[in-house]
Amino acid sequence: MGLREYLQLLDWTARQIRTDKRGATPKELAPIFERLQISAELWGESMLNLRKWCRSAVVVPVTSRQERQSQHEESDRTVLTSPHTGLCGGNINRKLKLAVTLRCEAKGGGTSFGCVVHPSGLTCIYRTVTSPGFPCSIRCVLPESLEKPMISEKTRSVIERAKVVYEAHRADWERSHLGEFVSIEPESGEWFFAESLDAAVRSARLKFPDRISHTMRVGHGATIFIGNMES
Amino acid sequence: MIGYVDEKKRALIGVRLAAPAGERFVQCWAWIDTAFNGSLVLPNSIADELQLPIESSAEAVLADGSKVAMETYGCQVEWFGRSYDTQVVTNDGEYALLGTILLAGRRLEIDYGTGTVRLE
Repeated sequence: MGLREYLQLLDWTARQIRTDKRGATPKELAPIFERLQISAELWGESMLNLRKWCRSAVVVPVTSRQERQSQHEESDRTVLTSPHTGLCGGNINRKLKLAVTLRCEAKGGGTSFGCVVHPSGLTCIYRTVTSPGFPCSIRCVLPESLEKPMISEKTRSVIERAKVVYEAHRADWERSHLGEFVSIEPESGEWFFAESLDAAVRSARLKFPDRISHTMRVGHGATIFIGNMES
Repeated sequence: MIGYVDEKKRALIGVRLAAPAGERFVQCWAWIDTAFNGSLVLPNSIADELQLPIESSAEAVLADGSKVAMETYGCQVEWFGRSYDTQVVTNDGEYALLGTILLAGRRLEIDYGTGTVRLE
């Protein structure tokens, strides 16, 4: 959505909120609502009731890299709670730039509801049709293709346990092995230092050919940089 | 090694890959990425085809600044006439990415005029 369209939408929305200036939906807004996959009425309703229905939903502009990183952590799997029948919107994930359909689950009296996503990926709007008076919690789940975890549960467990080993030795290792790569095999609690990731993993595999290790670069925030070299 | 610059100005070079200790190699074009500090990022389809084994994991910082945990796979790459065992990661990309580990110690020449890539 361009700035001009956004301002048009903002102006129209403001008129809906100020009841003395309500009017028909302008023709030029129709394509915008079409792209948003939402009716003008639904949009207006959601804006009017935003504070009432959206307890945990806040759309935060992201500007700095640091903010973006923390937002990813918080919003990759946003859990939105709506105690009322109605609509709820929230910042899902800036990375979701394409329009996607989210699968939503209602618990505690929920019957069914639909879901639309703002094409910019910033806002998700739900329409709940739960029975009035029933609390309804909404869990927003990314579609399978996007939700697919990058690592298996087994690997996740390896990483968690390896990090415990790293933390136990952090001070010592960062003093004497700074910049080296270390592959930690958490079953045995053994670790293998080397000058490269390949060499560290090779040492771990030589000793434990059937086990997965976790490899870290001592004193660095990450081991691999893809399109974003460490400064 | 000779490669080429494609219509989208990507500098591509051919690599041959196999599973660790495997004998069946597949060839693919890899996009030279000097902002990647590893050896190769492979499309999932190639890792699946070669049945590469997960050998380790590592945390990676991506282009958007986000940090993710990734599995690393053992892979054999034929590189300047010899076989080289390395750890690769995978993604959903169209092209493999070739990083600075494999470029270290080499001379890379990309000629956007003639559309040629030379690595020696």
